[in-house]
Amino acid sequence: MAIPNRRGSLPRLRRILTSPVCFIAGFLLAAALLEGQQATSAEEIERLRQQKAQQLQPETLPWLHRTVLSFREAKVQEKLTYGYRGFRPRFGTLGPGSGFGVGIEYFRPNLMDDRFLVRSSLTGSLQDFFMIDGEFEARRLAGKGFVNLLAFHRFSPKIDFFGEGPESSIHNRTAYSLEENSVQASAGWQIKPRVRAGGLIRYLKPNVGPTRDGSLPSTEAVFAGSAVPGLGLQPPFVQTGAFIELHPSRELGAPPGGTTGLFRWSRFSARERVANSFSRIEAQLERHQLFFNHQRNLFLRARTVLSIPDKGHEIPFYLQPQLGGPWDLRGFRGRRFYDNNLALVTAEYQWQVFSGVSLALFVDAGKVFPYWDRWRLGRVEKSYGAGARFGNGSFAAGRFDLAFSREGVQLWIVFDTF
Amino acid sequence: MDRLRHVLRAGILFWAVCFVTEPAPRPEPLRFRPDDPLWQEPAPISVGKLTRRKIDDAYDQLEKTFFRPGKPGPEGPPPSLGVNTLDEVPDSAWYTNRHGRKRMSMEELLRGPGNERPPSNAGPWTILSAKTEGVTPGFIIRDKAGRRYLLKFDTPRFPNATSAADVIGSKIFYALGYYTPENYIVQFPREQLVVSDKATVTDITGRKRRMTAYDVDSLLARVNRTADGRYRALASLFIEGELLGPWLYHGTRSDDPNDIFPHEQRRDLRGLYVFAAWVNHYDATSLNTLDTVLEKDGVRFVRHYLIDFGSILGSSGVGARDPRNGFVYQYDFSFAWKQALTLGLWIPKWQRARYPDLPEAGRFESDAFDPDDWKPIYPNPAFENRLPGDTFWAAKQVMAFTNEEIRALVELGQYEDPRATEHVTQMLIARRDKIGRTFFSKVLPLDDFRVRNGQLEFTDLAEKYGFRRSLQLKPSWFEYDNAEGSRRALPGDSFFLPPATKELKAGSIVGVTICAEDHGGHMMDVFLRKTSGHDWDVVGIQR
Repeated sequence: MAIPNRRGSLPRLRRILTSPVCFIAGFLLAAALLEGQQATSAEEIERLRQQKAQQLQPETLPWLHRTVLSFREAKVQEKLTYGYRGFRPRFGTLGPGSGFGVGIEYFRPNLMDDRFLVRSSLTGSLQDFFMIDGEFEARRLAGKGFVNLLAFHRFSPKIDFFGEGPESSIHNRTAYSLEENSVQASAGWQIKPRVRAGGLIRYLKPNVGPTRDGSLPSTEAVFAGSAVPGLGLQPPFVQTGAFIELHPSRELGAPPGGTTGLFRWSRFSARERVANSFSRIEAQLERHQLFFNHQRNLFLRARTVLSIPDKGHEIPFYLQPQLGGPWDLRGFRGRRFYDNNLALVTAEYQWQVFSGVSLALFVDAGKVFPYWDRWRLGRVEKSYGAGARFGNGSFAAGRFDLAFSREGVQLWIVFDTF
Repeated sequence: MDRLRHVLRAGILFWAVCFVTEPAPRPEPLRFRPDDPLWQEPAPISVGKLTRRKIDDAYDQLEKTFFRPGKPGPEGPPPSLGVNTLDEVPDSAWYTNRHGRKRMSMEELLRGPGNERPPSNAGPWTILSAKTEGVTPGFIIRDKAGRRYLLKFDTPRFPNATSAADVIGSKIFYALGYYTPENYIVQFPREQLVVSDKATVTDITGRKRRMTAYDVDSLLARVNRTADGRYRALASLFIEGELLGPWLYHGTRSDDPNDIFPHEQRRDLRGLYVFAAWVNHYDATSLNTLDTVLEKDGVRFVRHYLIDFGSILGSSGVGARDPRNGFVYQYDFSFAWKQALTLGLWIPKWQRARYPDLPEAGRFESDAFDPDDWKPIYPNPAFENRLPGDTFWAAKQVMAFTNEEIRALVELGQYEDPRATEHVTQMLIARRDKIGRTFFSKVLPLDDFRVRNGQLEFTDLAEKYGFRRSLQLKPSWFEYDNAEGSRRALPGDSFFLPPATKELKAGSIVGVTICAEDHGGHMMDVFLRKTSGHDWDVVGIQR
């Protein structure tokens, strides 16, 4: 009986426990208990971690970053700058009027533990300028000695010529072609970390011809051969000389700026009994004076070339110093003035806007003149303008200049260390 | 009558300052959990195979300058993450509370991440490779004990500047709570270095070849030597574990389950702005960070390091700091426009800053330093998201360093010229005080809350450090409903707990809103929880 009785009560209990009402009540009770048992902050962190663990993905970089990184890892920049297996492209100019030049260069700057440099290049430009050259340098000879051998063949089909002297007219613009074959040896000694001195000997075989540019009259068609020394006959030259140079500091951590300079004496001896022999003195001094914690730079430059012809000799026009172009009188066309001598001063005020980018206001003043001992201050040509500099102080990578002069406006885009 | 009018006017002004000119909308109500305040994050989940990451420095600069990932939106930076209810940072794989929370002894400060494992002089140091990252010349070496070090040198023009900065930086950032490498200053003769047969060097043309003794000599020819002809260098012990590469100042690692808070929102990275500003760590970029996988109790987890402090104080890593660094971004367009349009005639104060002729100290100053306008070399997402709470958190840690402690840390740099030690010390002290003065003024700088004898006690940090006189503070008590986040005002106008709190049961939470009428209307809430022993614990702070 007990059993039936028991049997009778169990189904009833089961019915009660499995009824929907009991389910709802149980759910509410559980919810209330859970509400009371709040998760800890540690558990909340663990919950977030577990949540993220369900969604893990391999770490990747944006495609642009990957591209830049693979570019870097392939050392593309180094290969463009320093070459791949010694070969590298070469971009730039072959002088004023050459147009953009492209070439290839074999460049091994640090052979045998930096003792030797070997270099050779082949470059052509949009205006058909052409150059092939080769260079060998041995360093640290007997400690601080060096020897440099340089040979080149250069052909310039169109070089502007406006006539000799400061009075030349812009309206007399002509052009000539110039072929140069040159072999040079120089040797010297690193006197101090920033100073080196030495001597040089060079054999130069020039050849002047009519321009290949039909847009300009050829020089010989406008100027008489007798009025322009060297136009008719171009002898080979042997150049001998001595130089002393003051370099910027290459010391690690050295501040930008400072002074650089060059003084060179040369003797050009014309061969084949042509009366074109002369001596030349070149001097250049540059100063980057930084102020306001390197954020301003006053750049000053003075340059002179003085030529002293042998008695009864004349200096050929293609070896005369020239003024005008991106490096000196920037408001004038390239090679605007030719004469035996020149003097030039430049002043620039540069102010930094970004790290490594400065804006500049500049003024150039200079003149060419026929006799080195008859220099006068009058009739100085002037140009002025504004530009941007990329680099810091004397360590500049490039610049562009918009320059004005009495003969108009010039825009120069240059990659150099100006 | 006049007096009554005066009191009424003062009262109205007080409430207006407190509530009408409230500087920012009130944040979301806090919810207190049983283990709050959490001072230690739970043990990490074990990570699987993680990807080694590389970052290109130029891309990183380009991205941070022009695309600005993690930049705060127009509504302003979101609240900081990785903080506990006391607005403090719990210990984690990113950060460990050290000197700021519980003062380290002088010995602990000087020990930093470690000082017992300099390179062994028992045998030669084998050069394994040339250092390729960064600007400072150096080698990777292995000593007789088999430990690997990064050996970095100073330049002759600025002797000892970089190695000193690296050692001082590793100690300071360690004391501030970060993981840093063990750095040692070493002096050794040329004979100490031998080149491994397997060592290679990549020349400027990108060509890899065997390293020769000439490579070693040509590098050593450019670095600083001591008076007795030895070489002084920084030896940085390689960080243990599986190196994963740098971490970013924005986003999270997608393959690390423990990396749950976007880095630009992490308090410990936002606050790093203040630390970086203090020591002028302008190179606080991802390039100078490192993730490493460690294993503890069978659990693999990622630890996050700060590395390379060669570009702090007055050093740039290869010389003196560029005078711009710390004041403007490298590509700062608003600055550039001003400079361009004024033809450079606008000369900011930092351009006129004067530096003593102390090559070892480089360029380190405090006059032109503006803590709230300090700039890393390029925008840093975490720094750009900083909020006053972040800078206060960091500033109080900077202020925790006493003059004596700063001097002792600077002396670890082993400058030869005592004037350099003195200058760097004085600059750090002056910059520390500027930081405290600046960032303590942006919030109500009350700290170190505790209940004693039925009264809420605290320290006014600005008053403690002598930046200003004591404030007139007005407390308003309330009972806090933790479930709802609602408040019920309790009577009481002093810092004694209101009598009504005696009736509350254990676990109840009360709060007090503290308003400073003479401190720009800044206010803050402090929350207390009743313990089973009828004491009160401080469980929450909201600024």
